[in-house]
Amino acid sequence: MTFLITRPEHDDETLYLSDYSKKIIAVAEEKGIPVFDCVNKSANKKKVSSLLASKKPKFIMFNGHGSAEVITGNKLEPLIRLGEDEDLIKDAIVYARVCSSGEKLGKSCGDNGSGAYIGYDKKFRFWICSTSTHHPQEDRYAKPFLDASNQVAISLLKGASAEEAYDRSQAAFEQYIENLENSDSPKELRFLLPLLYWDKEIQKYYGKKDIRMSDM
Amino acid sequence: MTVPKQAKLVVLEKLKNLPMDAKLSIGNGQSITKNELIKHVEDLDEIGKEYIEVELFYLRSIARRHGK
Repeated sequence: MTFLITRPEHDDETLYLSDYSKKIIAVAEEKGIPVFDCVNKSANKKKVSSLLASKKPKFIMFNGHGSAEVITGNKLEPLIRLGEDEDLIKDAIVYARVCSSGEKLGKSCGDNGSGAYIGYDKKFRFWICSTSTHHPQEDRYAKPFLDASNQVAISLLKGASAEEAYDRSQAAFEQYIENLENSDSPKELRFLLPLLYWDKEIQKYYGKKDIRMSDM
Repeated sequence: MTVPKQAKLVVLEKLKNLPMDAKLSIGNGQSITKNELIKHVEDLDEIGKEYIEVELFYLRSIARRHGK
């Protein structure tokens, strides 16, 4: 039972996703799950493809940019393309914290593979505080988005099924929304609400909903 | 996406209240400041229209949620 994660770090967005992914890697290590951590320049096509083919990780998490048909790595190098690379991932549990890849790539993996794919059907966006970019985990604007989206991976590593992991992430988004809608919440953070609603809505899953890492 | 004039005005009004230190990540490595976002919405370019879509989705969602 192994876990592969990509963490490009070539711009503010990927640096944030990478930094928040440290919490996910820590959970995997606590659970004794071997981690293939493709961080920064090692989030490249050659290395990731080689690890996917040789190690066949049960759980794969992509952080970065993308589109309906492509997931990219370091400096926007395509790692997975619709119609070319699905065989590398379609039988695993995949979580793509990547813009828009659920729409076609996720659906294709779900329809044609024996695994599951959790991703985002449109652009996953979040707010950043310009004075916190050197300390992403102290950024109070980014935290709700990245904590809630982290729950998919953390739940899977703790033994949840794909559907349960999706549900827990949805619940985490919901909790942040409720907290901000509460009349006691800081008014200066309520501008986060539209994108929290949005990211919650566009998070989708495809494939086998009952599958979990221990089944594979 | 066709944006009703009133929607643009509502979003611009809301954006005035954004904190000055807020930056929006918009995918593919770009993040934009409050004033840049306001300009995109004023110009109704792709980034501006996408942000208006988010705000309209939010307004519809809270109307459903609170039964209005």
